[in-house]
Amino acid sequence: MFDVEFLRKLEYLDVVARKILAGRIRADRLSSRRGTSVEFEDFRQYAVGDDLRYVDWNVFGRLEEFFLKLYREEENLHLTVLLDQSASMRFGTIDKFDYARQVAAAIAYIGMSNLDDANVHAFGPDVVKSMGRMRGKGKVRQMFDFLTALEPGGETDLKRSFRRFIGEERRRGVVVVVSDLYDVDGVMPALRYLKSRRHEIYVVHVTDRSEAEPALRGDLRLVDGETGAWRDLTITDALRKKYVDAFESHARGVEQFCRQKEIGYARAWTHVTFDELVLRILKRGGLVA
Amino acid sequence: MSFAAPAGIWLALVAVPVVVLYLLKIRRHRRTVPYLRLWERLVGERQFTTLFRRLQKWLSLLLQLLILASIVLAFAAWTLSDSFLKEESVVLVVDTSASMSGRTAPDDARTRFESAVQRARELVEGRSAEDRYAVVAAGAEPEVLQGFTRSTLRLREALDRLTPTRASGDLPGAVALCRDLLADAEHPVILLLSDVAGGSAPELAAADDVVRWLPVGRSTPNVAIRRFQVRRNIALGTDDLLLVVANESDEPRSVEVEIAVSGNLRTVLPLELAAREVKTEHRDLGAPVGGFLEARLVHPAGADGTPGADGLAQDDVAFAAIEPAKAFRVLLVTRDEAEQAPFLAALEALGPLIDRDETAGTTPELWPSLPPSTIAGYDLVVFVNEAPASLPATGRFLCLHALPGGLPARAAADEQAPQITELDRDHPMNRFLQERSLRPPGARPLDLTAGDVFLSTAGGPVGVVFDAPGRRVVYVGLDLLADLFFLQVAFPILLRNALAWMDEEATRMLEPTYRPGEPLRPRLRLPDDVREAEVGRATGLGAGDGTRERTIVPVRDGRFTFTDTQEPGRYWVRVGDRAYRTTVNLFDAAESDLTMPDAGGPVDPELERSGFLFGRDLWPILALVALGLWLCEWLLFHRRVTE
Repeated sequence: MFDVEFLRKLEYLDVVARKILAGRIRADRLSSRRGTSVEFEDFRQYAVGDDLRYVDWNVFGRLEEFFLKLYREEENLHLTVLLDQSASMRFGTIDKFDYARQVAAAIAYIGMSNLDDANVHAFGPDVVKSMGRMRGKGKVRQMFDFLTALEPGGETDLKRSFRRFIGEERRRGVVVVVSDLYDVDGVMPALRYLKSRRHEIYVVHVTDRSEAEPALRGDLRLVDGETGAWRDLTITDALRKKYVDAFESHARGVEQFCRQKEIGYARAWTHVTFDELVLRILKRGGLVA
Repeated sequence: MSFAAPAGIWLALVAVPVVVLYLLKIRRHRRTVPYLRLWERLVGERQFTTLFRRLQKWLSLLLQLLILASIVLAFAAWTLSDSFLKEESVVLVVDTSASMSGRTAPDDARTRFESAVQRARELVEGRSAEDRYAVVAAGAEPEVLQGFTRSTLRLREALDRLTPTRASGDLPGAVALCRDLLADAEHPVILLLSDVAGGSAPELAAADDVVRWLPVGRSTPNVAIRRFQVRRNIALGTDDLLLVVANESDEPRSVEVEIAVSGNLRTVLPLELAAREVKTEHRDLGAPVGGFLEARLVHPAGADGTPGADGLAQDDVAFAAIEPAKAFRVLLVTRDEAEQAPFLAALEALGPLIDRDETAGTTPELWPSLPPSTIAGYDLVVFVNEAPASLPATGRFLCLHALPGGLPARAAADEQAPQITELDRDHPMNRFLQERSLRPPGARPLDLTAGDVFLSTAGGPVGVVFDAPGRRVVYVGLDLLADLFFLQVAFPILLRNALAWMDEEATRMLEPTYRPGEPLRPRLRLPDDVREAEVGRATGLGAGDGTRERTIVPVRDGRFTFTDTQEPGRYWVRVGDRAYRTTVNLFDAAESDLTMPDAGGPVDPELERSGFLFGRDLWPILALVALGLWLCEWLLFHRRVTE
């Protein structure tokens, strides 16, 4: 999966990413937190205990009151890729999980090569496996090994998984969720929960054509890929159309929700190559805004 | 319900693999989906609770089995019973009489027989399967061609065996026969497929609820020879012809009648016939000829030169027969030559009627010495004034003023200047005789115990015939020799009459003509030593054509019967060296009248009852049902997967 060709594509993406993100790497990324950088942000009245070094004496000379100058703190970007490893990801004419791993690897690689620290969390219903924060291209092989070792299984429970992630990663940053979002009722609460932690979130909705437009017809026993539960159904063309509409409605609902909550969203069709997808995401700028 | 091909039911075994394959077909295939809940949210519980959904797959199987059942029933030639409606026993009586050989209608060249058979076929093909049908041919002798059966094949074969006859029909007899056939039937029906010839069909239908008349044909003009006969007048030495022609239509007709003798055209009679006119023609054919005569109607040719014709060809031809002229050999038994001379002179006056070369004379004394073969060589033996004590057992004898022994009579006292008191005008012996011319000087009446008296005086019978098998004796008790004038005038007439009566055997052996199908039997007993007779016939209506056949028939007790007289034509019977001629002619006014009711006769709606389903071959319908079910199955599946 992560062969030479894959690496070549990653290099290409990295070059393209550098052009797109030129001048905005590292120190250009401003933290929302106030700190000790040189970029002024605001004033506030002095309070007991404040560092006197930050008192604006010019203001004191004119107003005879103590005001502190506040500066925006500059920090490195914390990029986290949350990779869905539920059993449903093992579906599709092109394996969604393989595809998702490639996308995750590409995003992490770009982050790491730009001297940000990147991490990949693979989440399932009960477990969250973390690659650990890495920076620099030298850690790429480790990342690949981590991703290669992942084995999907279990159900999708986004909120539960995100809660575990928050528990482990308190630092704010950019969170890229790569998932098929097969938690129809739980996807929005989960994203809302993640957003509430002030992360910048980007959702990559991995979708395969075979699940968006399933070639099912007739009397079938449908087996759930995650739980193994089954149901006997007679798939009519009408029912199949309903399903297609429902699937599309679900995706559009998530997209609309993301737009409302200022969450980046990209539909990742497996028949679109991962590098093309990542490039599109980068060009759209959502991931690094 | 019945199956014409029950073996086809074995095809039902195909149902087993059909069911097995269907069960295999409806076995659900497992398909893994990434997220089942999305599907479940769409269908909810509806698919699992709707009864129709549950039954849908079984409905599909049911339809497939129904398709198979339709195919099986089609192969088994299933016919649906309509016995709950009415089961009938139907006798198809097809009129095969002569009139059925006539044209169906002026504008329909088919014969009525062909039309009737066609109608019968339609009835057979359209009948109810549970109805029993029988076929009866109503010719001169009604014949059951097919007893009751439900087999269409047998009925078709019976209809194929039907042939038209040239005889008069016997519809009442056919109906009586049908009644016997229908003795135990619950719903008897007799269908008469006939024209109105003879009028019996509508009368029978009107008189009997069971009988229904299906008229065949429409009114067609026809001219018929009703009678054609030739009679020899021995007294005058000529042949007389009688011809009766009838116009059986409502329009005047012009025809010519060609009379041919032994194939040679003798005369042509033009006839103008008014509507419904019956014209009788008498013709003197002149000197006796003998043989067969043929009368043929010739109709005016059409405008385009086509030969003329009328509704029925059979009655346009008629045949008659007459024996060839014969010279009689006479033996005179007189007491001497003087007594013989006036009689020889009288015989001479009879001309060709007497064979002079073979006529001879003898005396009573020599009579006993004559051998029987010599006596048998004469056609007539005349005893004058003296008769033997006994007569031979065979032969023809004229006894003048002398009574031979052995007869059931006794001579009474001679009578002088007798007066004729009784003269039987109808007796052939009295033909051309007038009472006033019979004034004999003397007579010898008889006391009779038997015999046929044709002339009497006050003293008793003086003219008596004694007719016994093989022997005919005429006694005339008048003293002819006493009056020469009486001898020269009365005796030739008496002799002619005697010869005519005695030779009546030749024309009495057979009727002058018979109806087609009428048995041909001798009217007189043949000699006991005759064991067989040869019957010949020349039939065919066309001029100069026809077939000639000869048949040997056995003779028992002096009788024989020849029944193969269906064909009109010329017939003759040869017994020993003697031939007797006769003919077979239609001569039936009823058969010749081709008039039909204008309304075309009643139509029985019940006869048209042939249910759409009942009694028919249902395989085409079953095939359509199978096709329809297949469409239902297709729609059902399509609805199931597309709804």
